[in-house]
Amino acid sequence: MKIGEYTHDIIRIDDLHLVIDLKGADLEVIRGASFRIPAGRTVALVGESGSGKSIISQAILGILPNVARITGGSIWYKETPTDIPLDLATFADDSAERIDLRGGKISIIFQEPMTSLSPLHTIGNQIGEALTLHRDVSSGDVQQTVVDMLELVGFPNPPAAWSMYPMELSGGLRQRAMIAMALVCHPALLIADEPTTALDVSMQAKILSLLKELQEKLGMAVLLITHDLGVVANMADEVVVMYHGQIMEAGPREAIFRNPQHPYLKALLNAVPDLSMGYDEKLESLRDIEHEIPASMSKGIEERKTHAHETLLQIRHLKKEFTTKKSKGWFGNDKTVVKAVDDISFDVRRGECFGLVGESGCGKTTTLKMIVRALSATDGTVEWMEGDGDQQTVTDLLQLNNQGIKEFRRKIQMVFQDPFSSLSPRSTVLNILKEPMEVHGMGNKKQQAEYAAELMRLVGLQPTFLGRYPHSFSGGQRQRIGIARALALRPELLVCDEPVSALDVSVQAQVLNLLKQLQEELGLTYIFISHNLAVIRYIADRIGVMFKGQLVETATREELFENPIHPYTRALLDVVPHADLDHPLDFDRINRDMASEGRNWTGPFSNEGHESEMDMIAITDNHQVRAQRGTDLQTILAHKPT
Amino acid sequence: MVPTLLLASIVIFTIIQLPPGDYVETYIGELIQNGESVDLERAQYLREEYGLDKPMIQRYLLWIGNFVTGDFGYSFEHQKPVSEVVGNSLFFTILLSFFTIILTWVIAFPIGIYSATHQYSWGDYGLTFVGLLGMATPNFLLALILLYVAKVNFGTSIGGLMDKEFIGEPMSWPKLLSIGEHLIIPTIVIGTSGTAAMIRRIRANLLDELQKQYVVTARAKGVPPFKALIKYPLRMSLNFFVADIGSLLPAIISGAEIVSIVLSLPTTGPLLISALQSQDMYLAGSFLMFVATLTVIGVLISDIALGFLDPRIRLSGGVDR
Repeated sequence: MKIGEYTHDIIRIDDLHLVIDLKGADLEVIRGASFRIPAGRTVALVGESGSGKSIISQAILGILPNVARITGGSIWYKETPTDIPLDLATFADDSAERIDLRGGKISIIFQEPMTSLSPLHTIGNQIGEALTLHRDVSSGDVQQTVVDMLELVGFPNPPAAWSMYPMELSGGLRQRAMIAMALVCHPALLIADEPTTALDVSMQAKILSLLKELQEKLGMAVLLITHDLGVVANMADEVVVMYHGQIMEAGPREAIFRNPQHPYLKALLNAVPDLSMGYDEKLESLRDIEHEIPASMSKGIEERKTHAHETLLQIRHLKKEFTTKKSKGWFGNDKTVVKAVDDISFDVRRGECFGLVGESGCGKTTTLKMIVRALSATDGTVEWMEGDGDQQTVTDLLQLNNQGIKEFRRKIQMVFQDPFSSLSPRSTVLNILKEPMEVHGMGNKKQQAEYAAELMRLVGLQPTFLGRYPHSFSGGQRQRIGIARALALRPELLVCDEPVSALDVSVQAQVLNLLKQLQEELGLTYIFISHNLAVIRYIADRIGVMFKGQLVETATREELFENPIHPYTRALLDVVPHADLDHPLDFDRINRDMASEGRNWTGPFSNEGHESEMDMIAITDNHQVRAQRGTDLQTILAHKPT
Repeated sequence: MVPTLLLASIVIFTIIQLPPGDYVETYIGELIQNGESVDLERAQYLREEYGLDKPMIQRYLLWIGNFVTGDFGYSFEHQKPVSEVVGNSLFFTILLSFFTIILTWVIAFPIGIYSATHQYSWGDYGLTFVGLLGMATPNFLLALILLYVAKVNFGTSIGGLMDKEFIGEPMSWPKLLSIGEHLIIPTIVIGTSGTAAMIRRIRANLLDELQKQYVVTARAKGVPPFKALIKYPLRMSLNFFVADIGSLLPAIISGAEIVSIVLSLPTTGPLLISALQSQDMYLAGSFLMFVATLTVIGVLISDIALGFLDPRIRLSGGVDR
């Protein structure tokens, strides 16, 4: 089957209604959805979380949770053009027909590669199981087929992977194992439920390219569920937009992106940060929030603003080493030293937002933790500068004793990634906001309560919510509570560790805009880390790119995105999918280009055999790049990747 | 392991020695109560004979030294070597415990699995209620009730381990049957409380596992429901169960003292209690040391078994974070 030739619809969903039973009360989560999946093509199902896109995929597969049931409509399944269509909605989930289809003709890959595989069974066992259930094969053939499949999905050593456990594999490899499991029976339809959301950009590009390649080889249809419009623009043939259990708009990719009709789709397209937007363009949040700056916080802002652009934090030669012991049999241990952060130096200036970007495991969070003294540094200095001229004081945060660091914590506060686990479920919002004030002895009880109310207004929440517990808030609201808590001590520096990556697209823009406004209005300084280049581009003034514990390039935002010099930065920019049909991902290049592995950086960027000679070399005042020491500018620019 | 046992032995010895007096004093007290005359010289002789007059550390070293070479000392109360006193009842205790554990597992597993897979159904509520009832009923009370029921309705006296006529007889079929008959009620009595707790734990563990993503993966692969249940979540929830073996072994020896007393079973439980009461130090000390040793061995066994069962434990060993 060739892609592009329309033969028939493998799935046709007709006026589907689905309810979830909430302790006796039915909640209708799918309200009359109809769409089709043509054989051999990719259909993207787009929408924010809670729009019902995942539950539709579960209905197709027949793996609905116990509380959900289909109340109306049909799911027509037709494998080949000549088959008589089968209404899947009429069969029970555990009927023989559906069990036979699951994994055999229709299969699924999930978002979370870390938890989707059983930790107790080998990869070979789990993939082979799918094969033995649906195909009549001997055990020797099973192993051969599975190993072939593992090779197809790009495992480096497929025969060895057969007997490995999921915990021995990285997230990317686990997702590949998951894909191998879904495809081992050559299904007619693959449902990919947010297949790359939990992965890094570079891994995301590789998995997407793999899916495309496998689709060409095996000729299956793909239902791609995602909220990332960049992924949609690069993968889908047809797009279906869902909102609150209803289909808002559906059509070919071209029509959806070039000529969006429905206001919701237009709003969604405007709310997602993208590399193609202008540098001063503002994201339009789906639901804007009003906030006000309380009078008590406004003093000192002017004074802070007059010192803008002076260096606030000077980080020099920061290092962190972890020692892992791996036991060799019964006796003896192998000690390996892992350099999580390897000699990092950068400055943070007052009033700016310094962004750190890099793949997971590159050491960005470790760096942050050392700055806030949550982790002890192996070596290096973090100097806090205050005042100017003769009155300038310089404090090395890493040398402070416990009393000293407590004083400093008032000036540096942190916003965490996961709004669900960073707020104690047993405290009311009032207590969450009061705790830092109590620890630092700010005001009496009455003042603290008043101040907590002010903080709520500051992040656009009702002060009447103070008595509630975190579970009654949405992810975006919780993250705003987290921001309010961080601001409770009126800090000067806010350290944000991926504050929007756990949030839904629809509220990402809201929180990003809030952070941006607060920075402007309160004269705050941010250090902001993210693996999402579009987010960093939207919020940061200057950006450092990290790779394997080292900074490879620092530059102002415009410089970095318009004129990237280091091959790693270039490679990172290349793998970000744009929500723009005119900037498609170059999948051939992604497969060829191993630059992100650091293996074939050429010329002055190559660090093989030159580890000790690498240094940050200034291109301009605001642009440094890591290269061999003493390399002149011409050589560097000559090797700049195109 | 060895340091743990050494420490345990010191604690055990100290605690046994803590109450004022020793066995000889208890013995003399008993004699006086019975109105018999006491030969002070004999008392002195006994003390010297058993080293009771020596300082504590010396006595400890003597005791522990003999213990590791297999000489568990002499029971004053029974006028026999400890190994003989314990040996008899140990066999019956292990027999009883074995049946109890099997019964617990046989009942608890299906019910636990049913309760977990049919959470909040009437079946789950009903079984949970029965289970909680079993947990809340004191064992000895149940023992007394069953004792009465068996006597009145079935005409069997179930006190003791076998009918009186077989005591001291060589092993034969009728004797074995009698033992079997007498084992039924203690097994049920001791089993019920354990079963209820076990059901609750299987249910809770399985419920946790059933929520996990990999279970959905298995369903999506087209694994039939029952097979998917056995292969993935059940296997996973076995971890707690294996970890439990550690506490099972000592319970075999010392478990269910009160029930044994009520049913006058010749198990080790009542023996231990009487030894502690009469300050029969070698008997009590040996017992407690057995229990300590079995605990340590049990934990070792469950650790090794867990390593076999769970690759995460096996493979992550020795990684220092």
